Amino acid sequence: MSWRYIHSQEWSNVAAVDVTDVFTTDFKTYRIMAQDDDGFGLGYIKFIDSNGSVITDDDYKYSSKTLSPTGTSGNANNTGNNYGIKVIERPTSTTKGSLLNMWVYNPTDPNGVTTCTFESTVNASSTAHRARIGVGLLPMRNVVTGFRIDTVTGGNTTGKLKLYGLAYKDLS
Amino acid sequence: MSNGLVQIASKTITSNTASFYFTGLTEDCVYLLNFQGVQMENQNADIYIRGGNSGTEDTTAQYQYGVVSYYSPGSINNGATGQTGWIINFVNAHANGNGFNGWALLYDWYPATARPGMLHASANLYTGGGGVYGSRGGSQFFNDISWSEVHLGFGGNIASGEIGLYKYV
Repeated sequence: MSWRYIHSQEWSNVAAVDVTDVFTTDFKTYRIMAQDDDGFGLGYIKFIDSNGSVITDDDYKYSSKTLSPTGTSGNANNTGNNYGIKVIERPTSTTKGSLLNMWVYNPTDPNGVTTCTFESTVNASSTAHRARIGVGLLPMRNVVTGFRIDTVTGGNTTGKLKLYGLAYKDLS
Repeated sequence: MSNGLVQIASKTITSNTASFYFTGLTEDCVYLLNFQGVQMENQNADIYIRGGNSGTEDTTAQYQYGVVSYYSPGSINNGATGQTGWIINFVNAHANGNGFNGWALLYDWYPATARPGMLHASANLYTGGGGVYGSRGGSQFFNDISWSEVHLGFGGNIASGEIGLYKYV
C-alpha cells in the first residue's frame, strides 16, 4: 500500500509538541493528521531542522481562507514571519477540539523548498466553530526532519497525531 | 478485502516534456494524482488536465472549475465554464528548486452515468513576489462520460518532477 505509517504521538496539556526525526529521504510526500481533544487547540506549524532545532527564521509564508458557519470568512495571509504557518483559525470562545489534515512536501531536499497544503476545523464552547483552508511554505533550503505544533499563545493542548508517507515508485 | 492506496502509474521527468497521459482508470473508485517537485521550464506555465480514451484527450469545451488561487499578499477566486481543460495551478514554479507540489483526487471518471470531477490542492514558491502560491478547488466535466485516461499538458514544458497515479482500494 502506498500510504506508509511512520509515526504516532500523544500529548497532554502542553504548549508545544515536537515531532522529531520523522521526515527522511524515503518519502517526498507526507500527511499529518492531528487532533486536539481539549484546550486551546492546534495553532501553528514550525519545522525542525536536521540538528533538532526549531526553525524560527522570519521566512514562513502562508495564504489561507478562514471559514465560519455564520457567514464570516476572510483571507489570512503572511509573507514572512517567525511564528510558523498558521493552520488553525481559533474561535473567540474556548476551543473544544480541532482537527488538522496537512500534506507536507519535499522536507528533506536541501535544494528545494518545503511546501504544504492544509485544512482544519476547530470546535468552540460557546461560539461558532471555525475552519481554515490554505497553503504554506518554508522557502529556506533546510533539510527538515520534523515539525513543531505550537498552540495559540497562552494555551495548552491535549491531543494526538499520526504521520504517513506516500511511497512513489518509478513504474515506467 | 484490502484497504489503502495503490500506485498504478508514474512519470518521472528529467528533461523537457510538453504532455503525457496515464491509462488504466477503469474502476469506479477515487484516483489520486500526486505531484512532487514539478519544475517548469518557464515561469507562469499552467497545468491542464483532461480526460481521454484510446490515447486521445477530450477537448470538448465542457470543463468547469471553481478555484481559489492563493498567494501570500492575497487570494483570488477563479472560476470558469465552457473550458477545454481544467487548470490545476496557475504555476509560477520554475527552476532552482522552486517546483510545485500538490495532489488531485479524480472521481466519477467511470462509469458514464456520472460526470467526472476533480478536487485538488497545490503550493509552490511564488518567485515573482517571494511568497507562497497555491491553487485549491473543485472541477467537473459538464457531460455524462466515462474516461479511462488522464492527460496532462502544460502551458510550457515541464522540466523535471515526479507524478504518481494511485487508486484508493
